[in-house]
Amino acid sequence: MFKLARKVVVAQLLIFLLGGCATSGERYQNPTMDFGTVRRVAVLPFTNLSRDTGAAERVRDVFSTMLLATGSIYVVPPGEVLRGITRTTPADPARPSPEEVKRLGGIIGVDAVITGVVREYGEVRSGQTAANVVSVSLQMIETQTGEVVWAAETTKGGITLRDRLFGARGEPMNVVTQQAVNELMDKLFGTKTKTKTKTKTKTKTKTKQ
Amino acid sequence: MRRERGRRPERSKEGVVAWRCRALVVLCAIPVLLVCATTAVPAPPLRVESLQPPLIAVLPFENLSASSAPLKEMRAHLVKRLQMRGMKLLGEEELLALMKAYRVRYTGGVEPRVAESFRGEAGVGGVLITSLGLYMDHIPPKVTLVSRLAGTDAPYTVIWADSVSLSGDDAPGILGLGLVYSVEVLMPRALDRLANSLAAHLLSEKPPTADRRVGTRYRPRGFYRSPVMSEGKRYSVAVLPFVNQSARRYAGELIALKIIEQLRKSEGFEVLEPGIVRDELLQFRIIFPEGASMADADILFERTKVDLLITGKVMDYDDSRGPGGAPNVTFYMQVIERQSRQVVWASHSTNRGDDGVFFFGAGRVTTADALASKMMAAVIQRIR
Repeated sequence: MFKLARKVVVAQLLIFLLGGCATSGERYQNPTMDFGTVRRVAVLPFTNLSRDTGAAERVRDVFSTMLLATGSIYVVPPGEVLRGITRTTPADPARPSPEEVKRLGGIIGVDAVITGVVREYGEVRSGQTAANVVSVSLQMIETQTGEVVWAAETTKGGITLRDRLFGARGEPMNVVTQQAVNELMDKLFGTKTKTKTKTKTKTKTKTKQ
Repeated sequence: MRRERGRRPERSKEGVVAWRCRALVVLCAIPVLLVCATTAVPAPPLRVESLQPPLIAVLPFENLSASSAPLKEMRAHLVKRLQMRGMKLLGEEELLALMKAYRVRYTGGVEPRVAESFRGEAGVGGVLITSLGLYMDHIPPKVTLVSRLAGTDAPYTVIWADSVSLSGDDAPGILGLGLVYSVEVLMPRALDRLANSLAAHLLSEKPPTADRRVGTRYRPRGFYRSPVMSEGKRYSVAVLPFVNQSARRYAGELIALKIIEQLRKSEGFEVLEPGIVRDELLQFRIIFPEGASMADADILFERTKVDLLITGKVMDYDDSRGPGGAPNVTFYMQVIERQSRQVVWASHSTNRGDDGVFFFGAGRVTTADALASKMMAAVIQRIR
């Protein structure tokens, strides 16, 4: 009887520990790629699959700022990216072909370009409960070879147990976006980002190098 | 005299009556004082000091409110208030004649040829440009005015800049006694504040200062500051109109005006008159749907000789309609430096007027313009 109880406790602990290890998205990283050579990147316009027409721009701007804020990579201004796109004339600026990426890299002088897709951005409802959710996937393409060297996706927000029990409406959209971008940064740099939320709408971020 | 423990000293009947009378007077005075505190008292007119203010040309108001407003009456009120404070203003007929002679139709800025002609032909030392940012005449009424004084001497910098945002429910007070229901009441208050601020600057050389106690809630959500930016250096800055992706018309121009105001209020920046920047953009046919490219930046650096170019994007600039709503502002900002040809500052800011408000609406911001001012002040503090 005592042994059985001990087994149950151990099993519960394992479940908790494994639950903590779970991530909310997947990641691919080219094992032969030296990411130290990537000093300048261009963040291309993201594809928007959500209902909010401004979602792609919002996520792109937050991501660009946060990437620049790491101090490790220089992000070319969006006006310069547009100049490159105008001169390269890709069929779809959000999803350029390897040849188009190479040409773009030559024009604006970047080591890699980042493309992205905003799959979800907005409110989700379940019964009487609602909360904000953001789902984004990104790819980094090297401009020398035109190959995808890194890819990751994340989903943040959504309805939690607290929302269901207490009728809370989840975090504000901007906070959820920030959380999603922070997770993408973690996946890009392979580090853990400290996120300290002081108030409901304020998020302070520090990235360990 | 010894006082017995546990026993209160006895009071005479007259003493008790006098004490009750005093308590009654205090109780009656509290609501009166509270009402007085919530009602704005018009500031007394400033006296002219020994300093001689320059001759000022007051341009017709620019309407960025996207609604019809009595601009002529508002301008007349401002002119009257400035004259009352001892400002020397260019006469109406002379101003109209100059505007007609140089075909001045754009009143949201001053081009170099216009500034030169104003100075050369009429001896004008500064041009006062006022933009109406918001005009809501339904309850609660809201008014926003942004004003700046542009110099007519090269390098055509902004001498003074300030703004006023008022809403009818800014200070409701007890039982709503401080509520204002008419825009006709708010407008004179707004014009008074602008006139006082300009007069204080010109007559006592005291510039309007930036609010140093900007709450932490208005800080940018994320930012990058390059080590290239040095702290002690005085930078000359040109502010480009922001790309407007919000539902509000002219939000790009309004946020650019907010930056100019906050830069002028903080030390260490010399702001180029936006009319000069607009003139260069028109001359070289530069349009930027995504912000300035490096090629555009090179042209502007070469032509304007500034150290920094500020560009960005506005995603939200919403004023609430009706009582109880909260404004919402979201913007991204980038600063490009001339020598390094790099982005030296990037930030994104987002706030609502009711952020951090928990008890009785204390600390609530009622207009998008006032909210943008606080957010921009927080950004400029970080840049310095």
